[in-house]
Amino acid sequence: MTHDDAAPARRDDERPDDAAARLLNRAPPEAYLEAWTHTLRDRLEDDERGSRFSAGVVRLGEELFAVPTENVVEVHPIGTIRSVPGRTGDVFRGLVSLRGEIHLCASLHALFGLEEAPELSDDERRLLVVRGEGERWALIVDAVLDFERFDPDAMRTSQVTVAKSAVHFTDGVVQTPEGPAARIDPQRLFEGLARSLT
Amino acid sequence: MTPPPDDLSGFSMLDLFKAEVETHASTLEQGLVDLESAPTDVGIIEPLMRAAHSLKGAARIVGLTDLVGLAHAMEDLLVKAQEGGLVLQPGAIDLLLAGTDILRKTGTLNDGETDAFFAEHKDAIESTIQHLRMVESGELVEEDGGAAAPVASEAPPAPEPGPDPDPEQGAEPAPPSEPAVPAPATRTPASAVRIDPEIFTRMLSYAGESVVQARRLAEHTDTLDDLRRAVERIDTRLAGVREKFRRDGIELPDPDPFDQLRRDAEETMAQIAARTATFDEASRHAADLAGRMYRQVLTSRMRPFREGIAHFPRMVRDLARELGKMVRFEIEGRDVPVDRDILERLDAPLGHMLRNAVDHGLETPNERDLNGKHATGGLRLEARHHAGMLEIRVEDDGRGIEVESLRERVVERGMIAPDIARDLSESELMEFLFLPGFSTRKEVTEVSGRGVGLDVVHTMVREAGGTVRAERRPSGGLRFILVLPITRSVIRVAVLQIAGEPFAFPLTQIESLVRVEADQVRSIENRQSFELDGCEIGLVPAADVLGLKSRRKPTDVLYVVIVRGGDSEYGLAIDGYLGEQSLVVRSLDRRLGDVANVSAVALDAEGEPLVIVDVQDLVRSVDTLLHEGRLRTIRATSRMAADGRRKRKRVLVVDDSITVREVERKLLASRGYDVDTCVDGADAWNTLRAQDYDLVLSDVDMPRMNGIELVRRIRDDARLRAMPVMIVSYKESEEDRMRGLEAGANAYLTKSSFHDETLVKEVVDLIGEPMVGDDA
Repeated sequence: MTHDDAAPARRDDERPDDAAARLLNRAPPEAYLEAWTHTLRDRLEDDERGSRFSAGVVRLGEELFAVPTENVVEVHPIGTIRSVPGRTGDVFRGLVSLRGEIHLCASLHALFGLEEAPELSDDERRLLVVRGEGERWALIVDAVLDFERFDPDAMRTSQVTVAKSAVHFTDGVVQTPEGPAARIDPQRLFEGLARSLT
Repeated sequence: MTPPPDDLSGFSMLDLFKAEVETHASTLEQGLVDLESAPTDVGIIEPLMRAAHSLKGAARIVGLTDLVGLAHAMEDLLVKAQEGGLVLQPGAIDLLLAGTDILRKTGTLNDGETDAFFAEHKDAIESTIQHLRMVESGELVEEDGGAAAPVASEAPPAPEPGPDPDPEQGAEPAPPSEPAVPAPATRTPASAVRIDPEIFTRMLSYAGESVVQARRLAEHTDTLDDLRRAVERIDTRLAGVREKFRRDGIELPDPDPFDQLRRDAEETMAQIAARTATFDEASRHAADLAGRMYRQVLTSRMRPFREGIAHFPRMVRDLARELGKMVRFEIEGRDVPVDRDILERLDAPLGHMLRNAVDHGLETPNERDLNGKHATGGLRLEARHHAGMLEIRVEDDGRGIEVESLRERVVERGMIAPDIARDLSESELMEFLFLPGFSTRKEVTEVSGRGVGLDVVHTMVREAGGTVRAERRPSGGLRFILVLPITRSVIRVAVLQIAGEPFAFPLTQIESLVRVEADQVRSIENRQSFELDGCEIGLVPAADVLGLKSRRKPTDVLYVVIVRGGDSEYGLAIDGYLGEQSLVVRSLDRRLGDVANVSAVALDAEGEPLVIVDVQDLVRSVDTLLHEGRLRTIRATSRMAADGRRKRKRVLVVDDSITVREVERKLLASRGYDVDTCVDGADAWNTLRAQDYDLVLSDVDMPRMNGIELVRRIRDDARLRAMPVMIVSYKESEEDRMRGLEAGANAYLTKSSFHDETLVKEVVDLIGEPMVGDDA
């Protein structure tokens, strides 16, 4: 193992493999390990204290929703959605292709009984790919704001802020920098999506 | 006998041994079957000898001494035959095949199973070795055919296939008229890699997507060109500004800064041009590679026909010997490429048809002799590509089928009324062979014997997306013709715009595309039609059939796709024609269930999803739409108003056989019920969800969704739960009846109930008289 902390630029006489090995094998900078140890320990203490959870905050019209991070796969721009005759409706919109894989696509607005903001074009909206119960869905949302960690102690019941029709799919409210967000219950979400197909 | 357990090198040697057994056992098996019909062909013996020799060596290395003895005895016998010391008779071939079977079995044993295996089979191995040695030394001469064979000992004298019609002289090796099969393939099939289907699908997805992405790269060449032109414009403008300065007499510092700027611009342009060229080459290279990879992934699904049928010659040979028949089995088209999936699905149906032909089709040598036929029966398996489809024929020159006795049989079985049976054509009668229960009787007669299990064949072939039919050969015997898609993966489609979206129609399923002037369209009683080549063709908006919202305004010119299903031909009005494409077919997401009018999905050239339309299903939907569906809703309103007091009860008949369907429909319609038909459970389920019925009459065995599943779904559905369901099946056993009733059927009838009033009576019992309000 070499011990040069200087930028490991490749020397002219060096083979790329060797340069890569040297880069990967170099000793960590001073205090680096210590800093990470602190960070990780703090996080651990946080979690132990209140079993904090992480969620992605999405916006549908005026309302915010928090989707548990373990259910989120990725975020995509909305491409072409192709209808499936006899199945495409308000909630289930059709099929989308993401990197060559075909996904079922649904409107979260319609599922929650919310109006889609008409001033927003598909270019501005996003597809939130979620997974759970062994399946995947691409969901149309107005925006994906951020991923944050929440303290469940701060959760309140959702009736206050969330539209009545969406209450069924949520199990509480969390505070985000943008305002209160209703936390989505993944199980009910996937059940609702499955129902949209029949 | 087994290598010491702690000997790791021995362990891996055992794996090698297994691999070796697999290769050589196949060579032996195929070669021995070939050899039987050409026993003097030394060229066939040579590779067999080598295979036995290799197995002997391999067995010695892993310390399986019993097998060394066996392989050695086999080798010695083959050597002697090759040297011309003896001619291998069927009994000897039996012995060699028995030896091969033992060797093959050892290749499939797991660690630790070997000891038990040898303990169990020690006697069999020793007796086989002993017999082999006896044949080799001439102690055991095959005077009486199968005496030497531990198998098929009941077989009558098994003479060599040859022109000699006298079976008694079989022990004399007659020169074969022709080899049973073409000379054995010298190429050994390349070893195949097994791959998880899910991973394969994903590979296909990525390969397809990389083609799309590589194509997008090419667009960047244009972007770079634009960039170069932008710099060019800056350069021109610089020149213009400098010229203006000069004209206005503005003094420029020396050296002229414009000179430097313009040199920079030119250099930039040159650099961009050079990079464009490099990039262009790289992107073309990427596109080429992506294309190659894509095609390769696709073709990896194709396997030569011979890979799926390698075991048939042996099977036919053993069966023939067991039954005392002589068969010359020919195979054509071994190298015809077949989709791996289809090849696998063909195994059971083909095996069944071949067994059937040997068992029930081909006569015994004596019988054939009496009929003036060659003692050796001919059996032929042929594969070829024909008109974009894979066509497989299984034909024999046996006793065939008497059309009239088949007709009698069908009536006797109560499958159809005598007056209907009289009018059935030969090909229609042949279809009965594929009906379930055609020959469920214990005694298998010459006629019904050919039908044994053909319903299963029918179902399996249809599941693979194909059709099967039987026909009588002009020269006697029976021929089965299976038509299947060459690949389930790639199809050629026309992309049609409907309700603003593209949909794919398989080219093989559409008749033509035509342009129709709006003033050529006639409208009679809400039905539109136009004339094409002297035929009146009904016109339906494709968007309506597919249940899509059309945003299209009426135009002067209509684009129409002509589709055909059975006897009906329809014109579907579409928005436009977008082109032809080859699509890689993927199955629809399971969560969507069976979607009416849709067969599959694919990605188009732009990488977007494209729904592939099931045209046959679509034609059925058009039928429904024209005769009942949408028009019904118009009529229904008026009928309710005018006919409000008397409304007919509606029955849905579900059966995949058109004959049964029609018989049931006529029976009930003549009684006064309003009857609709569906061709299978999935079709029925879609119809039931869209319309109201008073009763469902369903078959059990149907493709896509069987009757039991249909009943279950009806009983699970809140809206349909209370609707009476009757099962009408060929299956008569108490067990089948219980299965139907347990699923929730209200009644279970057999198809023999067509003759008498049983069916109609049962319907009246369940839902009352046909007219609402007439019920007692």
